[in-house]
Amino acid sequence: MTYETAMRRLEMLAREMEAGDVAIDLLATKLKEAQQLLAFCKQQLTKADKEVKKLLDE
Amino acid sequence: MTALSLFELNQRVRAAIEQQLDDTYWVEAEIAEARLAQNGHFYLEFIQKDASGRSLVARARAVMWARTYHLLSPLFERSTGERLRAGLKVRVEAAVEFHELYGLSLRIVDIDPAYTLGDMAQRRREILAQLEADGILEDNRSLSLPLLLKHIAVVSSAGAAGYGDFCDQLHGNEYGLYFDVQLFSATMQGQHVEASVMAALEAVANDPRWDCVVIIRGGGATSDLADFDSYPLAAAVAQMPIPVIVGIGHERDDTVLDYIAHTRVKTPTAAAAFIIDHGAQQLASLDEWQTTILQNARLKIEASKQQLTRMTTLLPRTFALVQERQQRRLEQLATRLTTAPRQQFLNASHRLELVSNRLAQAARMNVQNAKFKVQNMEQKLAALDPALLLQRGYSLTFTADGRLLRNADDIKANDIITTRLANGTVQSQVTWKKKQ
Repeated sequence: MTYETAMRRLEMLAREMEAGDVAIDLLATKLKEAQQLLAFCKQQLTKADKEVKKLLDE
Repeated sequence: MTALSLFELNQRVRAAIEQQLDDTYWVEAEIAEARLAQNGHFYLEFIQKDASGRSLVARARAVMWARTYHLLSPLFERSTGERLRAGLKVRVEAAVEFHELYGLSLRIVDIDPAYTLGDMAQRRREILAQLEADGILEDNRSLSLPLLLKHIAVVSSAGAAGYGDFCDQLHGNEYGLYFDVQLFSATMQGQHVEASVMAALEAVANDPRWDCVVIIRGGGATSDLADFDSYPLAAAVAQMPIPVIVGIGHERDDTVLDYIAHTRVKTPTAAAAFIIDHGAQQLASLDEWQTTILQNARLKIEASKQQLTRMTTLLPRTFALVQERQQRRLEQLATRLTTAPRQQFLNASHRLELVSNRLAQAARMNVQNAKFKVQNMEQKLAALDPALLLQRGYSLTFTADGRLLRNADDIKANDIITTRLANGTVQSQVTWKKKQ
């Protein structure tokens, strides 16, 4: 999965929840999915940041 | 009847002639034959043709005694450039003589060269007029002389001194010019001149190698010029594809060829001098060109050198400017490259945080909403609890078989019913009923 795909899915989940379209019994599942996506994105971002910094230092 | 002897008859003829024609007469006639005898006497035959020039209308023998001949002949030749020969028209002063043995003869005592000159000039004028009428008079003269006259065809007689003079002069030129000369041998005197020179010219014209053709005649004694006054020969010269240089003229006289050839000179030596001068002029012209080219080349080289010097100083400066500009550009790019990922990272982080917050808030809101809905539902349900109604004084009545009684039609008198109250149950028997 790419960062952009993860971000698109996260945006969709946020919009669904904000619209109140999520069934309560699915809420926890979706929230869990969102948190996993958030973690993935953060990890990708940190990794990219480190690589850029390293390259620029060279 | 007494007959005369032939001698006697001739004696009478002679006497009659001497008596009747005792003077001298100027006579105009054409020489049909001319012969110098060994004894020095000059014998001629005069003729006169009719207007068409085809038939003879008169003929007479003539003689110029040796003494007269030696007196008149040089005079005639000096004046006309011609010796007395067949074909010439002459005006002579002659006495008419008759000899018993030799018959009638004209004894020439004087000759008028001016008449012959006039006749020759007239003939030349006629030839020139014919050439003009044919549109070829200027043909050879209008040719331009090649820049280099190197390959030279010479029409002359092989053994003539003139040809030797020409070659000596040409090859010994002071400029060291080289000439390729070839002789096209031709008869330059007498009745065969026309055919012979024309054949030589044709041979020259058939070889494209020649730059010009020189027609020269051997030097020495004055000889016949009138042989060159021929229409076919003149036409051939006029139509030669290369310039014709003639050196056959006489000091005092011209031929038709002198008027139509590209260039006329007096002598073979003069012809050589003309060719050498032309070459020398071209050499001088080449020298001028060489000087001009060298000067121009020097100027060009000098200008190029100066340009190069300017470039040598200008180039490092220009390069430094370019280098500086490129350096700045690189630095800007480097800055942008450093800043851009950082900015993008920040943007992404911010976006991620926003999404995260929205998700958390939305999740909480969803749970909260669900809670409210449940509470609402609880309150509604509580309001509907029958126990509360029973406490307010309402009761529930059931039939004997335990059905909730809602309709008066479902019971009748004497039926047993059970009534449920808030704090107990009462059993009763129906005594009456009334429907509302």
